[in-house]
Amino acid sequence: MNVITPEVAFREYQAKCLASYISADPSITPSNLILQGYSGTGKTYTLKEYFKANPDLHAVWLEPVELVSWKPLLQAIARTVQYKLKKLFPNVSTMDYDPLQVEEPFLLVKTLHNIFAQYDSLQENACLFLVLDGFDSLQDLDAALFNKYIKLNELLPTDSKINLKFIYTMLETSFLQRYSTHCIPTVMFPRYNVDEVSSILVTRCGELVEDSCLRKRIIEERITDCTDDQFQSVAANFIHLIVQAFHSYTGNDMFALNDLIDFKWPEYVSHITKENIFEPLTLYKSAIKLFISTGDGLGTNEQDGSAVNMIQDNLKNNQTYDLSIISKYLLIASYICSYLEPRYDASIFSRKTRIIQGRAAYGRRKKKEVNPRYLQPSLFAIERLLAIFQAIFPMEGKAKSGSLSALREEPLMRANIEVFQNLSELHTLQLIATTMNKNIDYLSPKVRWKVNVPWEIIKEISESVQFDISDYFSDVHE
Amino acid sequence: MTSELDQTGKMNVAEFADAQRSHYTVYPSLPKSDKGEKHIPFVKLLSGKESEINVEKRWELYHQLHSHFHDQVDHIIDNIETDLKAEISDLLYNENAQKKRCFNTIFLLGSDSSTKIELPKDTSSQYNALIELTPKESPNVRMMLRRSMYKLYSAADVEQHPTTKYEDTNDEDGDFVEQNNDVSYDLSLVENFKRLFGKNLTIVFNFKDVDSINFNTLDNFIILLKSAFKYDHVKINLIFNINTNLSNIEKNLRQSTIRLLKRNYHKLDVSSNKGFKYGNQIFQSFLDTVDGKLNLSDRFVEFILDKMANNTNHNLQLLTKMLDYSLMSYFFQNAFSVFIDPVNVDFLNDDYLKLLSKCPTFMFFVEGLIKQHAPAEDIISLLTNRNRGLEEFFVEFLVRENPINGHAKFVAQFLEDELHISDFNLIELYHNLLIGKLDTYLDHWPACRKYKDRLHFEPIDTIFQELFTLDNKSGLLTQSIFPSYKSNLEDNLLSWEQVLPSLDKNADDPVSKSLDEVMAPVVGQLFKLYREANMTINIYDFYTAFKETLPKKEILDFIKDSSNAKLLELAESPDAFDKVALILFMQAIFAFENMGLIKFQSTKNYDLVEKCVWKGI
Repeated sequence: MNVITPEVAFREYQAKCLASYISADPSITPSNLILQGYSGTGKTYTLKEYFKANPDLHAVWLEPVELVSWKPLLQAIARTVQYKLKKLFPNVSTMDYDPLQVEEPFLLVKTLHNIFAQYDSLQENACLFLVLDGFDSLQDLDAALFNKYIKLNELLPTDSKINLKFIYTMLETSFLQRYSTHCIPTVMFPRYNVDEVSSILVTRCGELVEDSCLRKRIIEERITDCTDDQFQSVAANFIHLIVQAFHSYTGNDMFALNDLIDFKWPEYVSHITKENIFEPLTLYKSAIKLFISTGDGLGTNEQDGSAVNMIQDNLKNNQTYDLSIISKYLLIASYICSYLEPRYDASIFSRKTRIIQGRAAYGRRKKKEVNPRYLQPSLFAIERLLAIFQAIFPMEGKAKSGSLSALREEPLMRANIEVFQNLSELHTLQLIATTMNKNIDYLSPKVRWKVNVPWEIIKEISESVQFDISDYFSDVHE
Repeated sequence: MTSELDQTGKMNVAEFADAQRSHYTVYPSLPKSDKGEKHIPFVKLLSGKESEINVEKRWELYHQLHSHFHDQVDHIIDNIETDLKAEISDLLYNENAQKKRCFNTIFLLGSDSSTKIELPKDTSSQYNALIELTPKESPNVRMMLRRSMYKLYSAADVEQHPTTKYEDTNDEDGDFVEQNNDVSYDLSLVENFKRLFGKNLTIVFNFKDVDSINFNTLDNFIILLKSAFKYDHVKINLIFNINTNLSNIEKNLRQSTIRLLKRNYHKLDVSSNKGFKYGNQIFQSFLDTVDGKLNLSDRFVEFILDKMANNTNHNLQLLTKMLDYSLMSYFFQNAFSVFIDPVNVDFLNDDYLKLLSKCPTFMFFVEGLIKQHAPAEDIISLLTNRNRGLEEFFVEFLVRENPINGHAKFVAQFLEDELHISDFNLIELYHNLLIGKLDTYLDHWPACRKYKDRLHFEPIDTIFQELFTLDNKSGLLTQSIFPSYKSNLEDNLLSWEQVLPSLDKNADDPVSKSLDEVMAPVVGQLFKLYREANMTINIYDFYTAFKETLPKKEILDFIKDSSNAKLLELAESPDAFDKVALILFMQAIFAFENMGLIKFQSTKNYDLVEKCVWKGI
C-alpha cells in the first residue's frame, strides 16, 4: 500500500521510517512502534504531519500525562477506541460498552474483544492506530505497565477485522532500555542543533509580524515606507538574536527559546523607531538590555534602571509582606541555635569575657570535620533562642551616650509580647518547627525547637538586616 | 455550670477536655455596681478635687470619641474586603486579561487563604466554576485532579439537576467514594464539558496555602492542566495564595512552568497591611475624631511606627489598639481633657487654673512677655487670673485647631490628588512633620521637589499644647500593650515588695508581722538563690542553702502562735524547723516547675534540676 511521506524539516529520515512502519495494511504494520526523543525534538509534530498527509490512516490520540494513572488510561483507551470506530463505521450497528467498567487490563482486553467482534461484518481488514503521546510521562508509571501494553496485541483475536496498532512516543532512553529485549521497532528523534533550531524558529516570523503590538508601534512611529518582507526580516533578525544570546542558557530547548521570544518581542518592538527599523545594529544596541538577562523570574518585572536600582526596588516591593525585623533576628538566632553548639555560646555571645573558666572559655580547639550546615538542625530550648536573640538584636540608642535620656533606654532587647508574637508567627509560617505538633505549650521547657530554613534563605534574611551571619560559621569546620 | 453537668450524669466532652488542660483561666466575678446607677471607671483627678460632673463629662466625651473612632475603623475594615474582591474579579474577568493558550494567573501575596473569590453570574453560554484546593486535598496529582473534577462535576450537575443531592465529601482519608459511576473524573470531563452541559467553561483554581503543597506535585498538576488549552471552550485561571514570598515559588517550580505562568500573571498583595492605604485611613480618621484638637507627641508617633514595624500580620488591629489605648489613658489621667469640648469651659475653676499657670509652654510665653516689656499688670492678671485674665486666655486657645493635623491632611491630599503618590505612610509623614523633617521625608518622591515650598511646614509650639497631647511619656503604653512578661515575672520575684499589698494590714498581729518583715514569699526567697546558681542545681544543696536563708526564730514563733492545731502539733516535735523548711522548699520548687523556671532532668533521677531561665547566658 502506498503511503505519502510528509515534508518535515530536518526530520526526513524519521518521516521515511514512519512511512515504512505505518501503513493501512495490518499484516505489514508492527503492532508496537516507539518514537523516542527528548522534549522539543518534533516527535508529535512529525507524527501528526504523517497522519495528516495520509488521511486514510486512522489514529486515536491519547496523552497519558492527562490521565495520571493506569486505570484512567485503560478506560480512556476503551472509550476513545469505541468512539472512533463508531465514527469510522457509522453503518455498523453496535451496542455501547461502558468504558468505566474497564478497571483491569484483562477487562480492557475483554472490552476490546467485544467491540471488535461487532465489526466482523466488515469487508476489509482495517488498522486503527492508538497513539500514546508521551507514555513515560504518566504519573504512576511502573516498570510492569509497559509490558502489559506491548503484549496486549497478542491477547486480542488475530482474526478480527479491526487491528489495533500502538504507537508510543517517549522522552527517556533509560525507560526504553528496560524493554530492549522485546525488539520493538524504534524511531529515534535526535535533538536539533543550533542552526536547525533557529531555522525552525524563524518560521514564527509571520506570527510575530502579525502581533498587534507591532502594528500599534508602526502607527505610533508613523512607519509607512516598509514592506511586509522588511517586517519579516526584522522579526527574523530578532529571532536570530534571541537564539544567539540565550543559546548557552537554554541549550537546544525549543520551548524555552520560544517562550523567550514571546516574552521579549513586545519590548523589542517598543524600541523600534522610524530610524532604526532598517538598521538592525542600532536596533540591537537600543534594545541591548533584553539580551543581557533572561528575565525569567516572576518578580523582575521592571527591567529598567541599573541592577542596583532594581534590587532596591525589589526590596521595597517585598517589604510590605516581609518579615518584621524582630522575626528576622529571631530566625537568625534560631539558625545559630540549631547549627552551633551550645557550649560555645558563652564565648561567642557574652559581652563579658571569661565568665566560664577553663576550656570552654577559649572557644573551640578542634575544628569539625563536616560543615554543620550540611547536617540536620539540632534541637534547642526556647530560652537559648531568647538569650541569643537578646545578644544579637541591635538596640541602637537614640539618645547620646552619657545623657540622661540614655539612662532611660534599655540596653538590651527584652523578650516582650512582640517577640513571642513574632515567634508564633514564624512557627505558623513553618520557618521554625517544634518537636511536637499538637497542643503545643510554647513556653514549656519540654518543647524543643529547631529551625526549618536552609542556609540560602537565612543568608538572604541576614543580609537584609545587615547582619553577617557567615561570621559565626566561618571557622567552624575544616 | 458543673452542677448542671453532674445532673445529667453523662460524660461530657467539654468537661473531659477541661480536665486535661494544663492551665486554667479564671475570671474573677466582679462585684456588680449596686443600685443600677451609672458606673464610671474614671476617678476624680486634681488630687480628688475634680467635681463629679466633670468626671462624668470626661467619661461621656471619651465614650463619644471612642465609639466614633470605632465606627470609622469598622467601616474602613469592611471596605478592605470589598475592595479586594472587586480587584480580584477584575483581574479574572477583564476581557484583556484573557489570552489564548495560557493560564491567567494571580499571585495573592501575604494571603492567609481566607480571601473569597467571587464569580460573576453564569450566563446561558458560560459556566464559571471555582475549585478550591487545600494542601490536605493535594497529596498527589491524581487526587488533585480527581477532587477538582469531582467538584466541577457536582457543581455543574447540581445546576442542571437541582433535585439530585450531592453531599460534600470532604473526607480526609484516601480515596473518596465515587458516587455515580458514569463519570470519570479526569480531564475528559473538561474536554466534554460543552457536550454535557452546553456551556463554555471558565475554571478558577484557588490553591490555598500554596507553600504547604508539595511543589513537585503542584508543578505536575499545572503541566497537566496545560493540556486543557487545546479545548477552545475552556479557560483556566489559577490563583495562588502565597504566605511566604514569590521567590519561594520561583525557586521551587520548574523554570518551564514559571515561564508558562509568566505569560499572563498578576501580583496582588492582600495582606491587610498592604501598602499603607488602610493604615493611613485609620490614622486619618483618628486625627479627625479628635477634631484636630489633640496633638500627638513625636515620641508617641515614633512608638507607633516602631511597634507597627515589629508586627507584620495584624498591623491594622495593632494600630487601632494603640490609638485606642492612648486615647483612653489620656482621658483617664488628664483632667483638662474635658475641655476638648469647648462647651465645658463653664466648669473651669481655680483648681484647673492653678495648674495652667505651671504649663511650660505658658511659662515660656510669659517669659517672652516679660522680655518684650509688656505691661506688668497684664502679666500679673494672666498669672493670677485677676479679672479672669488667664481664663479668657485659655479659652481663646481652646478653640484653635492644631496646625499640624491640618497640614498633615493637606500634604496627604496633595500627594494623592496632585502627584498621584499613594505609597506614603501617613504616620511616618506625621512624625516627620512633628520633628520638622518633612522635607527629607518627601525627598523619597522626586515629584515632590517642585512643590517643596508649598508643602513646607515649620513646627510650632502652641501654648497649652502639653495639656492636649497624647504621649507615651511614662512608658505606660509600652508596659501595658507590650508587657515583657518573663522579665516582669523575674523582677517581681526579686522585688516582691513592689507588687504585693503593703504589710500594714496585718499590723494587729505582731508575730506574723515580724515574720513578714524578715521573710519574702517563699518563691521570692528561693528565686534569689536560683539566680545565683549554676545551670544544673543539686537539689539537696539547693535545699540546704534555702534552709539557711530562712529566719528560724520567726518561723518557730509563728508556728507556736498559730491557732491551727496541726501546726501546733508540728511545733512540738524537735525537728519542727526542718520540716517547715522542707515543706516550704517543696512548695517553691513545684511552683518553679510550673512557672517553667526549672525542669527535672529525667523522670528517674531527682538529684539534679536544670535551670531553664538564665539571663544573658
